[in-house]
Amino acid sequence: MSSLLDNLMLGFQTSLSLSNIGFCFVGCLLGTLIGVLPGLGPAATIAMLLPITFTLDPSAALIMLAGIYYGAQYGGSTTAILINLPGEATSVVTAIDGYQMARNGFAGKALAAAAIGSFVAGSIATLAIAAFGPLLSAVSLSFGPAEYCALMALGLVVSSVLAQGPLLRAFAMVIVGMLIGTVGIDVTSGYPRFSFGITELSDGLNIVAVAMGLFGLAEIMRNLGDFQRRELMATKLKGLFPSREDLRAITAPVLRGSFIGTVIGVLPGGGALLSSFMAYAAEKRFAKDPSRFGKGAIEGVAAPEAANNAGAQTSFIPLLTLGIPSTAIMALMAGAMIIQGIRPGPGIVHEQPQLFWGLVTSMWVGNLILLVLNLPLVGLWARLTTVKYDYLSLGIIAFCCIGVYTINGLPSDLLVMVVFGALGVIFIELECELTPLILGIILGPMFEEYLRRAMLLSQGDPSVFVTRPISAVLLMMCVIAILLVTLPNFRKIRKEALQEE
Amino acid sequence: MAVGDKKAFVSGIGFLAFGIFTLAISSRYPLGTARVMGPGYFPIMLSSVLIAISIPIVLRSLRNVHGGFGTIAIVPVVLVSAGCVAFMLLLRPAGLIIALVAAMMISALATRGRNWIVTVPVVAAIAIACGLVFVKGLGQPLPLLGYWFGG
Repeated sequence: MSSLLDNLMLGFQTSLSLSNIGFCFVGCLLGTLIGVLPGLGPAATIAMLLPITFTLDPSAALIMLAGIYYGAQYGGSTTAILINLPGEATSVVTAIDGYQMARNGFAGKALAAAAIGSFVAGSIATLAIAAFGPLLSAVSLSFGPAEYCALMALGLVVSSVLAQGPLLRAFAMVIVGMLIGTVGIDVTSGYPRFSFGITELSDGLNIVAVAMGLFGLAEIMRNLGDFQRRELMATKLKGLFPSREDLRAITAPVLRGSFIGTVIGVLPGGGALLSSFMAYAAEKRFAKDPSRFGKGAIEGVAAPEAANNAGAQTSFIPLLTLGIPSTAIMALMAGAMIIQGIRPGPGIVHEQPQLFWGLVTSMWVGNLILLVLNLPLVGLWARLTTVKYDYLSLGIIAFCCIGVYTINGLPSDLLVMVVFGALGVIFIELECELTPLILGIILGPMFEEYLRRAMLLSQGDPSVFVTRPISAVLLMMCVIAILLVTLPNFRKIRKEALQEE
Repeated sequence: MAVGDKKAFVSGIGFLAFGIFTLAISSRYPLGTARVMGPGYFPIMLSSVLIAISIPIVLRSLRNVHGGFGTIAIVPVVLVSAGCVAFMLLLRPAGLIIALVAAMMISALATRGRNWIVTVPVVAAIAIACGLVFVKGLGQPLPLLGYWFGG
C-alpha cells in the first residue's frame, strides 16, 4: 500500500509540474475542440494532433496525448447529446437518452451529468490502474508467445462481435486488416511481401496515415458534397448545474458505470465500447421505471459516460503492461511512444517509473481539468457544433495533410491516407466496419510474430494453445464470445444495442 | 438472378476477390513448415480463411432481402483525393502555404452552392494559421515557401 502511495507521489511529481499541467490542459482543450466537431471521433482527433507532440519530451508528449484523448471523448459525447451525432461508437449509447434530454430542454443537465460521471469514473479508473497495473505487468512476465497470441485473438474476436455491421463481414474485415498488415518486409526472413517492388511499401503501411484516411478523410469525402444542414439546437442551454435530486439520481449509476467500465475496459478489442453498452443495460435493469429510458433518463447518460471514460482509461493497461494496443486509439498511442523512443511493454513500469506513474496520475489531472474546463465552457462547445461544415472540413483536410506528412516526412504517406480514405467511404457504404479492419492491421504483424515463436517453441505442435492454461482460458473466452452472438437471444440484444439511431 | 442484399453481395464478392488475389501472390512465397514458418505461411492461412468466410456472405446475400445501395457521391471522393495529392506535389516546390491553399480549394469545389466570397478568405486564414502554428510555433521542418520562391 505504501509503495502504491510512493508511486502515486512520484507520478504526481511529474504530472503536477507546471509545464506538464500546461500540456495536459492544452491537450484537453484541443481534444475537446476537435472532438466536438461533428463526425470526428477520438481516433481521428488524436491522429490529427499527433504531430504537435513530436517536439515535446516523452512524458510531456504522452500526458498531452492522453489529455487529447479524454478531451476528444468528452467532445464526442457533447455532439452526441446536442445534435444526436455520436463521433464514435462509444457515444452511441449516450446519444439515445442525451439527445432526448436536450430536446426536452435539459441539454445543460445532460452535459453536466456526462462531465461529472466521467470525472468520477476517471478517478476510480486511475486508482485501479495504479493498483493493478504493476501487478498485471508482473503477471505478464509469465506470458509466453502462446498467451500473447490468444490474447490478441480474443481482442480481434471481441472487436468484430462489437462491430455495428453484420458479424461475418466484421470477421472478414479483421482478416483483410491482418493481410494488409503483412505488407512490407517480413521481419523474420527479410522477405518482401505484397510490396510489388515499390520501395515505400517495403516498410509496411504507416498506421497513422491509414487511421487518418479511414477515420478522418473518409468522413469528409462522404459529407463534403452535400452536407445536409443540421437542425441547430434552438433551445438555450439553461439549467446547467444539476439539482440535488439529479445528483442523487446519478450517484449510484455513475459508481456502477465506473465499476463496469474499469473491469471491461481492460479487455482487448474495444473495452470502452462494450462497457458503455453494458452500463446502459445495467441501468435499465436497476431502474424502477425502465420505460423512461430512451426518453431522456439522466441515468442513461451518466452511467454509460462513466463506463466509457473508465474503460477508455483502463484500455491503457494492455498497452502499458503487455505492449498490446487493444484499440485504434491505443495503437496511435503506441505509435507516439515509439516515435518518442519508448517501447511499450512490461518493461515500462520498472525502467521508466517516472513516465508510467506520470502518465497514470496525469489521467486524473486530465479528468479534473476537463471537469473544470467543460462545465463553464459548455455553451461555447455547443456553439461550435453549429460551425458550418463547409469551412470546417477544409480546415480538417489541411490538418490531415500536415499531420500525415510530418510523421516521417514521406510524401507517399499522403497517398496511403488518400487511398484508405476512399476505401473507407466504400467500406462504410457496404456496412463493413472499420474498427475490426484497423485492429487487424495493427495486431496482425504482432500476432504473426508471436504465432511463429509459439509454434517454434512447441516444435510445430498447435496444441500448445490449449495446453497452456492462460492461453486456453483466453481462447475459451473467444469461443464463448462467438457462441454468444450466434445465440438468437443475444443476437437480438446486439442488434438493438448496436444499431445506429 | 435477383440478389436480395446487394451490399452483402458486393462486399462478399470483394472479400472473395481479395482473398484469391492475396492467395495467388502469397503462394509464391516460401511456405516453410508449421514449426519454422516461412513468409508465405501466415498470408496463405489468412487468405484461405478470408475465402472461407466470403462464401457464406455471398450465398446468404442471395436469399436475404435488404435495402439497396445508397449513393456514393464520387465527386467529393475524387476532389478531396486530388486536393491531398496536390498538397503532396506542391509542398516542396511551392511551399506549405500554397500547397495548403491548393488542397483546400480543390476540395472546396466538391460542395455544391458554396459561398466563395467567404471560402477564399477562410482558406487563406487557415493556411496562414497552419503555417504559423506548425512551422513557426512547433518548428516542424516544412518550408513556408518552396524552392520555386527560393525558400
